[in-house]
Amino acid sequence: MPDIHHLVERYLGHFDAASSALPEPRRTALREEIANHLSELVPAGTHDDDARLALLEFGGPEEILGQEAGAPVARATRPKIIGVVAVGVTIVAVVASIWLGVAAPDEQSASPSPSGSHSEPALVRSDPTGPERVTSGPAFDDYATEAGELPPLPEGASWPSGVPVGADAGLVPDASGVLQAGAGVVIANFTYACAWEIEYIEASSAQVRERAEAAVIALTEWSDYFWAPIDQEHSWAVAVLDGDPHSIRSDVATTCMQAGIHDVHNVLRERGL
Amino acid sequence: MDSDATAAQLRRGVAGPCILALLAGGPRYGLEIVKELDAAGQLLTSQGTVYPLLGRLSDAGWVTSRWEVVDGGRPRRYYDITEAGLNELGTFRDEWNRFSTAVDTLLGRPITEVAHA
Repeated sequence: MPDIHHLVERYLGHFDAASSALPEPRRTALREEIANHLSELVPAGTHDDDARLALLEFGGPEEILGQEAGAPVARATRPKIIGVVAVGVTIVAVVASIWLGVAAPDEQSASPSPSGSHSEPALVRSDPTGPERVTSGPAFDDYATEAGELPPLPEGASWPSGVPVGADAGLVPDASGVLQAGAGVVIANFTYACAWEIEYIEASSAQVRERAEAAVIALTEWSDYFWAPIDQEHSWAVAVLDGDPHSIRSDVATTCMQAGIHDVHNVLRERGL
Repeated sequence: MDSDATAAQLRRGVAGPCILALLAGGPRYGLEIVKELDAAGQLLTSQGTVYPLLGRLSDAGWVTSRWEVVDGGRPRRYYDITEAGLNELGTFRDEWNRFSTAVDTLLGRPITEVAHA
């Protein structure tokens, strides 16, 4: 997609992922309006700082979609867990609060591996459960670039070999069956989050605290990287990482679905996680 | 009372009629509407929420829209008010005058008088 600021492209990717439940043709019309507005408001050469400010004033996809649904926008009222600069003490506190929750003995039905080793096949792998994947086109190019820039996946996981054709969650294939530009960035990021959420669930079930802590730190830093440019409220981090120890378990199937990785919830349940 | 939440609720209630009032002065596209609402006093919670609002005004039959290509190829959707939209605007103006007069009357009283009324 030529002449589009990279932060606008990322914003539209977020919008695509967040608007999947909106019925057509309203979804397409709303996206078209937003894309035109942002292309005029944030031309391709705009400095990143100015672009972030403009996108902040424009409002996040969730806020706009909340207005579309006619519902008041749900805003986090709890304190932010991270600022633009992540604070180590806060991360440790979050890790501790989540860890204390998941480690409660009456919550675990699994038979955890004493060593916490990865004994089951990884869910995030080169050929994950889900739609067929393609290895060409703008979405794949974006995906490959973004995957190369993200930190490593957890041990045992590997990047899926391509991007899904016709993945759901609002990622619409073009006439050639290849996902639109911008979708690849979203898929790469949700793949990363999916892998680390699964790592957290497995590690906490196996009671391997170091791995669980590493997973929460990876997810916290990812949230700052991925969501902060468009969501100053850190709504994802507040909702998923802060307070409720079950939130990652609730979030993982949706996160993985956004990455085109299906059936995660069932597989985790079969594994007693 | 949370002043941010109060302001957001007030904006939510008046933004639609304010858009109709702008469009009564002639067709406008989204960014233009946003800029005028901002200039009038930040009447949107955030700029992007203008599009769901315009969608609802359109669904109600109070505005129509059409695409135009301007500035060497840039597409813009222009919105225009309908006859039904003008009627709705007139109704809101009447309601608003009654409502704001009543609120102004109460808010204009000295605090001690309100407290002991």
